[in-house]
Amino acid sequence: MKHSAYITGKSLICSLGEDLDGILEQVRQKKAVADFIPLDLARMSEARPYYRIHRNVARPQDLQARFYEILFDSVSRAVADSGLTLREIEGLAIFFGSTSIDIPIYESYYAASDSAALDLFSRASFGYGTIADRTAGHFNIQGPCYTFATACTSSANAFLYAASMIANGSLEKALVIGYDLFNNTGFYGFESLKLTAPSSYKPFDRNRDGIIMGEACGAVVLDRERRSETDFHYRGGATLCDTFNVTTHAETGDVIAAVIRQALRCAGLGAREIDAVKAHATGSDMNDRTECNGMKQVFGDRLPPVTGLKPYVGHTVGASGVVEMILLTESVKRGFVPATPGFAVPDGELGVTPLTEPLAVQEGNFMLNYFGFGGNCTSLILSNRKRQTDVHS
Amino acid sequence: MFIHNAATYLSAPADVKALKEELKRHTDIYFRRVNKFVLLALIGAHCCARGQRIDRDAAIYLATEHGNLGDTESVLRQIYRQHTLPMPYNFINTMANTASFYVAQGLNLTGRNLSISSQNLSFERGLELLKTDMDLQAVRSALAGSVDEATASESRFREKSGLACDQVNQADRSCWLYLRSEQDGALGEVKAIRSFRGQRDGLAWLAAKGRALPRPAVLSFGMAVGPEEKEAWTKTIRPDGELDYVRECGHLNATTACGVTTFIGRRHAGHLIHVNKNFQDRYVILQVQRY
Repeated sequence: MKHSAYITGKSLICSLGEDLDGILEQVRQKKAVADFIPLDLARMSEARPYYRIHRNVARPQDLQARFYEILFDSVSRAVADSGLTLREIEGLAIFFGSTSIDIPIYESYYAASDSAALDLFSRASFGYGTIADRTAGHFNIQGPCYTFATACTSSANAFLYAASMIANGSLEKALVIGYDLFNNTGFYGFESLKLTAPSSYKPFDRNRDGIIMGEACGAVVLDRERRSETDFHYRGGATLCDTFNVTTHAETGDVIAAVIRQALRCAGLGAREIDAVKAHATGSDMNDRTECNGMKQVFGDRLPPVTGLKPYVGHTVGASGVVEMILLTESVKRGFVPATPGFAVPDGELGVTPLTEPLAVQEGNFMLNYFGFGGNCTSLILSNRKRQTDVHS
Repeated sequence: MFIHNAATYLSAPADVKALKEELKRHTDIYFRRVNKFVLLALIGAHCCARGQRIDRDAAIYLATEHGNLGDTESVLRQIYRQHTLPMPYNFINTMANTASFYVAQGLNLTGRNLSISSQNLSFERGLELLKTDMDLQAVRSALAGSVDEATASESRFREKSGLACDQVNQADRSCWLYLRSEQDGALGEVKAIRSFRGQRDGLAWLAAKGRALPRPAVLSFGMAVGPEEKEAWTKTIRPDGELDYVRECGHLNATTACGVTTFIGRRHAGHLIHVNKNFQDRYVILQVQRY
């Protein structure tokens, strides 16, 4: 028997704040503001927008303390929201997804040191699995820990596997975390690829000119048992690899179309049963082009309403899976699918116009798409329809 | 999960040039601007794929403790010491899934492609994910590998293992299994992957298996399992032999894949019981049968 997996707890810390009602009210009103960070480390005179978390931490100069304070606070809130008992918390498994993992910590060590670089790096980086283990230690979580490093699909894949292990009976409950904190490796790295937008976010717009990064921590508790009538559940999902190029997907969108079709098949749904799509919509010329080509292959000219959520919190890379999932599902619980702020001029070549105003919706089947470097393509389908049907593989 | 091939690639810490030469022995494809970690992944995966009929939709599960070491250092040096933007390919290569991407591209595989980690238990957790995919019929076949560069930092190694560097061999490592859901033509099988919160639970599980434990059974241990613990496990299992692949292959960070591929490569029919733990004393027992 395959089991359902319900989202019974959630929390989000991002540039819009950490109170979910406050965050969602800003989303409803299409409000989002990015800071500008100078590129002075590379001795450049320009600055680039970035969506930063504004939070008073106990020791702001101690980046390791800030890193874990944000992470543990987010997990605390998600666990509290789920109403789990101490014993249930102990039994959780952790699925952690991130692009940067512990880079924010060890690059701060590197910056402060003049010792032999590689030795310092290796000493500072305790391995990709360290953060999940430390989270487990902090909350006395005794279950297994899985860390996913699949670039921008990291926490989407973490969610996919947590839901799948609940579906096949391996687990009863799981904590899924998407976390990427500001780091210079990513900030300057994306700049080196000439992918960053100079001023404002405009995904799917004819004048789109790149991504704007952001930092965020999202956490959800997945449970075999529904806790509330309004809980979203996992219907199905898929992940595939596009081997076209390490940084871009094939422009035809063939693998994107394939992963969407697999996710639909897995969910037991037809394309017309999707009520809205949360696109990856990075705002880079190529990603938006390939994503739209992929969607059009599946949906033809009957595309469901489409939205892109990065203009609210930035591209939070590996964290975006869980972060954008919380933004979408919590918006729907409050009666709307968010609009895509920043979009103004349709691009006839893309043939996809995202929502420019919030769409009144209270329940439905929602597709969430994520794509990343390394050819990763992941599609998830979540539902809050009252009538429950079987979960597929 | 049936094992259709296994490959063990171990070498003394080598540079990119030497690894590129090694890769030429396994594929005609030339990979531009790849780093040491990517090359290790490619060598191991291509060894494992050799002579096999790999499905186009085969999945890849690349388990690693640290991912790449060198390119991350290069990017940090470019930003913080040279005050320039990082080289784009250095930045791309900082991500662990770049390696699994090149494995997929080289073997033309469009299935699931995961880079995953779990302190000291990365390979076991990767196999658990594969098992889930096979249970749910999302995956029929897969390459599952474990790749890590030799730890560059002596102090880091000491801190993690409690062992002095001169007591142990260090190695670059890339160990892979090709697994299918069908038994036909298989060399062996992953019979069980069980997680335990502590040694006592694991020992109790094995004790309960008692006489049902298949024979001949060979016992092996992960790096973090100490001598006293080993004795307790050995008393419970009473194995027909021990596989000390850690001593034989070099002292590594995450060793399980190396143990399994070594066991399969020896061509002796029997069972491997591998006991591993992380630094929070979470245990995983892996049971593998060689036909």
